[in-house]
Amino acid sequence: MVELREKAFSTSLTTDVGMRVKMIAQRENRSFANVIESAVKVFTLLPKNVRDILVAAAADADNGRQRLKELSRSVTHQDAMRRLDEAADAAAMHMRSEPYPEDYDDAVVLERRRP
Amino acid sequence: MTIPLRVVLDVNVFVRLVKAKRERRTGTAAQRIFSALEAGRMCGRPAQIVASHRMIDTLSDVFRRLSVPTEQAEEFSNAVIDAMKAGPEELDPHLMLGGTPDLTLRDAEDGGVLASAFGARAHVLARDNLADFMPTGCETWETTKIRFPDGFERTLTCHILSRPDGLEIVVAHPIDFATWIGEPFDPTPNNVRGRFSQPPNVPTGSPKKP
Repeated sequence: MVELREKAFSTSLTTDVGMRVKMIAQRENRSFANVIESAVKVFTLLPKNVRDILVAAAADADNGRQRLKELSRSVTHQDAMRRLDEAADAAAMHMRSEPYPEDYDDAVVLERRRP
Repeated sequence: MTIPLRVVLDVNVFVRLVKAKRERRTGTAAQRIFSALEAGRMCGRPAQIVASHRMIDTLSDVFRRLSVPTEQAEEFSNAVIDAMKAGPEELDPHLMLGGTPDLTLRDAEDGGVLASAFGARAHVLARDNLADFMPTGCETWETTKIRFPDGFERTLTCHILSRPDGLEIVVAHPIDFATWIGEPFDPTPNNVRGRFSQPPNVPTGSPKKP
């Protein structure tokens, strides 16, 4: 399906932001406009509270970059765990059950050494 | 910043996770370990899983032997790699040393797992078969007594394995590790020594009457 496109908008970027867009465009073999379009597309799909967190982090010259890195890792981790869970579900549909003579999932704990 | 807990999960733990899903179980040791991994914390510390490419390959092979199609087996393995890369230390299995088995263990595959764990500076290795992870001179502690449905009883142990350069790793059963996650108990070698070198906490004599 062909996506209807709005008329072109224009905005100005600071030198730093412009450089970052250019670097991403070169690294990912995309056009400058395409990187900006992706950024706006994702940003406008996020809930306001998430946008606020990201904007605040980006505005923090001291710790913002580290904060954004941590947030990115957290999102990536959640996504990886979701895929691991889905992959486990998919594998479970096919996996042949082999009898375990001593299945510790069936065992009861009689005694635990605690401090 | 708290140092992340680097954990090596034996292939058997991953298989048990899938088996528990297949049998619609809840609250198994493997499921509790993965819940903690999902939350990003184990034993009160950020959790970082560690695996070498050799271990990941073994995982895929085991799944295929259990009739899981190649595509699903590799999807699972790739998800494990991605979870590892997205951990707090963003580790990459390409960087894990696992080529030369540790010669202190008789079984070459176990030796490869141990070498990978030491190479990755892992803190804990969780696995069911502990008897094969008892090289001469390792410290062994009795931890938990369990009973199987047929009445057979087994005493679980945990081991501290050391390298000549002083590097140590705690090898524990998934049941114990899941318990430590829930408490939470930080299983550093010294904490393990402190916990299990005490006499067992078993009441002696008759309890006091109120």
